Amino acid sequence: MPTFELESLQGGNFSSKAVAGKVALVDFWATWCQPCIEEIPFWNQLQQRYGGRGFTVLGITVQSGWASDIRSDIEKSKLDIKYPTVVGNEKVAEEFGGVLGFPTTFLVTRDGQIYKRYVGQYPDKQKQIEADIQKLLSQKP
Amino acid sequence: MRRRVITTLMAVLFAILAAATAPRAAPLTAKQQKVLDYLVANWHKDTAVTGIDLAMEIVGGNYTPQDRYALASYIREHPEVHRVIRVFGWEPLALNPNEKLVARQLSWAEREKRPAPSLAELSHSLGTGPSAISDGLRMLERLGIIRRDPAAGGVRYRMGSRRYVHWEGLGRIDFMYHRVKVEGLKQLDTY
Repeated sequence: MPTFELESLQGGNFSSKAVAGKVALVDFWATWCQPCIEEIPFWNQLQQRYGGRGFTVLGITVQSGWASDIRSDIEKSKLDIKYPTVVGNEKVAEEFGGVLGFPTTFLVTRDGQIYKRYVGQYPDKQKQIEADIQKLLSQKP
Repeated sequence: MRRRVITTLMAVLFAILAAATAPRAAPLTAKQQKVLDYLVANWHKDTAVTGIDLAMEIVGGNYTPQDRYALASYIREHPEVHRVIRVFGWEPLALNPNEKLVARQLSWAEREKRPAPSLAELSHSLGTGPSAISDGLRMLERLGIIRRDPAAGGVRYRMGSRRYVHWEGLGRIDFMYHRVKVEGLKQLDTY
């Protein structure tokens, strides 16, 4: 996974070091992307279910303006995001291998390798992602 | 000690000089401001991301490429003016459809490590006369989106920065908005 230090919507900066050693679900989303918004409750569930087992969700917000713009959108749409969310940029998207459409989600292994990329919304996506997370978590660190 | 003071003073002097020589957008004329006012009122309404060229047409009054250049430079330096600039970037709002198509051809060539297309090739593939292509190249160069490079082949331009070669998503330079006309409304660009 690329290394980065990005502005956190929760305040301060967020370093990619914070997810080192964890299985991470990195979600590139935009505040105007309805399918991305629809997935947030599921990411919250995953965070709640596996957060204590060496897993985290990380939201990277792109093409949505400045942090203040994003915070205002989150507030307006009453989005209850329960995982770290940062303000992304073209550079980090490119370093992940490019984000051609939304939503684009990456699953990252404990040793920082990109395990899989999920693009768009499709049937059984959530089931597939959860199975992949369980598989990665069951592997010995 | 004295050496450190001199070094610090030199650094400050260089910083001041650099700031003074950095290109700054000129203040807008009243005529140009009318276009910006129209855009600020239009952007985000009904998903509008109207470009400067269309706004100049709607506002009317013989706007020139120099006016568009001034407005483009202004929004590039003032993303605080509107959220649409911060979300989509200034480039897709500043370029007209012809320039976006020219930029796309040059960007693709560079991405695929091909020589830049010639004027005739660009003219043929875009179905536009060479003079319109030359105008497009001129504006792209002025805005720093492309730069002259005799080694590039063809029209002898390369993209002005790496981000223009590998750029994906809505905010990219070649992103073509849909120019739509809704009954009862003025024409607008949308995504």
